[in-house]
Amino acid sequence: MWCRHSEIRSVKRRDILPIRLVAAIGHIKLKNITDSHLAMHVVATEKVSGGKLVRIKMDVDEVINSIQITGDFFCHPEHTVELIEAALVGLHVHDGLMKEKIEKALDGAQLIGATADDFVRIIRQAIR
Amino acid sequence: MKWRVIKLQTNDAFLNMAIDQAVSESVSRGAPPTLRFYKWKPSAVSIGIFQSVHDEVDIEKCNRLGVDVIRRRTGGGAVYHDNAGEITYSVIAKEELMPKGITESYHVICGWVVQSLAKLGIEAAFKPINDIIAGGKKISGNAQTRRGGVLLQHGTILHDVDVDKMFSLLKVPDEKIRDKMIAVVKDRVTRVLDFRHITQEETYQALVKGFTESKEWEFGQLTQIERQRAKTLADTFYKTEEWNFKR
Repeated sequence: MWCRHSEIRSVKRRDILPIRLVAAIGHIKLKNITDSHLAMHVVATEKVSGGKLVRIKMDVDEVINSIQITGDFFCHPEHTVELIEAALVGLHVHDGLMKEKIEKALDGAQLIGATADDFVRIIRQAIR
Repeated sequence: MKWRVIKLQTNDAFLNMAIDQAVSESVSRGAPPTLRFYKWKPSAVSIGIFQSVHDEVDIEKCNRLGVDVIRRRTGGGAVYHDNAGEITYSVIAKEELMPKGITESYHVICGWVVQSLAKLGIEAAFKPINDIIAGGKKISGNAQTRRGGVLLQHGTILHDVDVDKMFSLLKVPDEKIRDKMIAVVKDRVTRVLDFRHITQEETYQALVKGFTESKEWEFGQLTQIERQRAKTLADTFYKTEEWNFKR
């Protein structure tokens, strides 16, 4: 069993919403909970530049077993975020079609304060 | 269509959010566009629909201090609604009455807040995505959703804010720098009282004027159907762990 833990504190502190200021300190935290298949529970948080906070929580082994996208971004209609999460389950973290899957789940819905590219980047940061 | 303006009311968090939904449903069925102003008793923390309650809120401390915790059905961040320190508004109208673009509609409705503050002699401006700033600091946060052809935007206007209490209820990523962070936040948030020494009643009257300017409007009440629906939604949806602890 092993674990690693790192934090990156380089995000600009320019937001004015108190809770986002908390988030703007920005951290990427990896916590590895191993089992016999090296499954990991990983968390990555980023205050998107010019946007909102996005935090990804995933259970991953070969593929994404479960994922939750949280944060103070907006999505209209809101239930689309659950569709995005469902579309990501079963994908390899480096699947080249990840962005397309997210955009397909969005299906015209509007993400505000984050983009499909931001989600993909933060998901990949989580396993670094 | 004449706007219905519902005078300042005080409710608990669950009923406040349930009224927004009940009115949205009735507006969808043809009720007039509605403005409401309200306060929260007890004080409450509301979190955005996509936020994790455990990541954002010190639940134990809220319970100890009698502060309600609720998930909104709008996005955005966690807000501390101090019973004494803020006024919340909601705008509920058919989408066709508002600009189609989300940012454009924020601009219009936040413009009403800006107009209201101008009546108090406070120069403020909309700052995308969803903030209003005065003197370079945040004085109002706003959040919007659209469902069933209806736009709901609610927002808070800070009259007074106890940042120390707020931070004792909200989680911070690093306890070691809590004091420093509070100092930074204090420097970035402002209140009506920082500009004008006026009562909350005067702020409320300015909001009514600012929001209704150039509109046909009249004071109105919630209908019995709306009140009943709101009570049902509060009890069966907004008070449930399933909703509030969803993320």
